[in-house]
Amino acid sequence: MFVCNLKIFRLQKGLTQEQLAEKVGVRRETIMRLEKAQYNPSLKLAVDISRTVGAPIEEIFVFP
Amino acid sequence: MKIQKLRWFSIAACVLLTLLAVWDALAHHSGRLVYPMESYSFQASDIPMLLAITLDAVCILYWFIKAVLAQRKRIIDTNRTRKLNPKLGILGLLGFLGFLGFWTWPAYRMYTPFCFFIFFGFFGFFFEGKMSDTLMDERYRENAAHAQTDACRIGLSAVFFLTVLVAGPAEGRMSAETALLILLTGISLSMALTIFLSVYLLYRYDREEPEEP
Repeated sequence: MFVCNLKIFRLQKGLTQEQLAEKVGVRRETIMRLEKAQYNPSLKLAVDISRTVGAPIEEIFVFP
Repeated sequence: MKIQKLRWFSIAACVLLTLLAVWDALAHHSGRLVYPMESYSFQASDIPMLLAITLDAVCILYWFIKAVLAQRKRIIDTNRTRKLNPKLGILGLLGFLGFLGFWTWPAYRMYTPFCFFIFFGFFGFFFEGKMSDTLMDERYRENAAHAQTDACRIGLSAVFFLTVLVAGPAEGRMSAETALLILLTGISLSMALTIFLSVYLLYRYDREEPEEP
């Protein structure tokens, strides 16, 4: 699987899961699953998240 | 608002016309088409009743199609699942009407009640209702496709099992009528299972926590 640093970047940006979900057009549960690295996002969602939290994709989703 | 008014007006008109046609049939034509009859042959005096029934059918069909299209449009526009009350799952109890077939078949050679088993699929409304008005994001759509595939695979496996493993070995020793009954019952139950599972599995995939690796 992969390591997801989304929570760190989200908190740095001062966003709640709900706010981030709304900005990228998904449900809060999806963000929660992403943060637990239990869901593989599509490229579009990964890019949207990356732009919203202002961090590169490869730093948010780290594949060993 | 205008559509709402039109709907009530059309329902009222249908009810009024049907009542008038029933009154006409009872008062002037000795209750033809009101009381059950052995065999039917057309008479000009049936026209008001036939018109009223046709109008009722057209009206019901029109409003049903309009409601389905409006629901579909709302889903596309809002990207959210349809609004549904979980209590509609009670409609699944209609599936028990299928057991009527075990009475109507020996008594009247009527096998159509077995088709009612398909209504067991309506138990899925319990779960669909719980996911009512949910945003359909990419994870939801993935889970929906996954659930649909699994449900269809299980349903088709059930039909395959029934046809090949149950009806197959009995070939030659079973009358065509018995085979028809088994297949009709089995296919109805398989379809009910598919309908139910496609919703239930979606609910499970969407809500359950995956096991930690």
